[in-house]
Amino acid sequence: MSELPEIGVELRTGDRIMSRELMRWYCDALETAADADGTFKIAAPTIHSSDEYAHSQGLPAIIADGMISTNWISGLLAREFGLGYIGQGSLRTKFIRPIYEDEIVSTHARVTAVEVDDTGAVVTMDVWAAIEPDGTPCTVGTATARVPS
Amino acid sequence: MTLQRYVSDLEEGDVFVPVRYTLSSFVIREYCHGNAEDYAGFHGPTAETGGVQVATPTLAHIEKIRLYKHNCPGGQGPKARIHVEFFSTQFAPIPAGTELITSGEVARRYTKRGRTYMEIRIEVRSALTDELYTRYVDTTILAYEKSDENPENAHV
Repeated sequence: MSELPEIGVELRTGDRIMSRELMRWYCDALETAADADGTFKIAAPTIHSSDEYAHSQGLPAIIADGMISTNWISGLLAREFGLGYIGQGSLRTKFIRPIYEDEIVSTHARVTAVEVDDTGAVVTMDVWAAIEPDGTPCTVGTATARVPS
Repeated sequence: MTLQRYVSDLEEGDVFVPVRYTLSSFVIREYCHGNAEDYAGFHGPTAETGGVQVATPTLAHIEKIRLYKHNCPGGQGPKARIHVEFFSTQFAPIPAGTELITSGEVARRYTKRGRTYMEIRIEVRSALTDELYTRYVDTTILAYEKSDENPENAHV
């Protein structure tokens, strides 16, 4: 069997800045991916890209789409577990605090259980994204990945 | 075919008209570019991903957008959605170029602390073999600002 992580082991990415440009790029990429017609799309103003629109919706400023921090957590799992996460894993995230422009974000996974079975093991983790430098959680959840025999 | 004109009009029990499409290499790469995800297997074939380019599991979220676009042509409605929870479970990797069918339904719509929530359940399967690739549960607030939608409907 591939080497199993120990309970309590923590994985972490480097810090990233949630720039205004990234927030907008995500909106455009989402539209492009959803339309799936092979052309690039520019998204209409959203709470992630337009101050005016965000204010009109009762928000103090634009906020990042929660899927950006989810994608960063997902990428951490893909790097660590490969197809054991991409094809046989799970990810559940809940967005408990908005991420605002220029906030610095780190992403984490901590192993909470390792369950061995006939074909390998299932690794269960707590996952989260945090606002740095104080580590305030903004996205929290759980994930699983399979480690083959 | 239209299910409801606006996403905000969707009701508990509504079943989306499924969407059939081919997941292109371009779509996977572009979505990853949009969130600065550079894992190599999402951008092209790698040994680690079995010699093929595979979809990032978070593309499940795009399946929701795709269902909305096809079933609710009027768009979101008067207020912006706020995403609350993402929950995907993968049953097999999805290689680029796979023809897929995405289906889904509105599992719950409820009021909690003055805001209206909606839970969508989605499945992504092979259009050719019916193999299940992904189950996805998505929860959103339909409007950030509190509304007076009947609080007696609340079951949370």
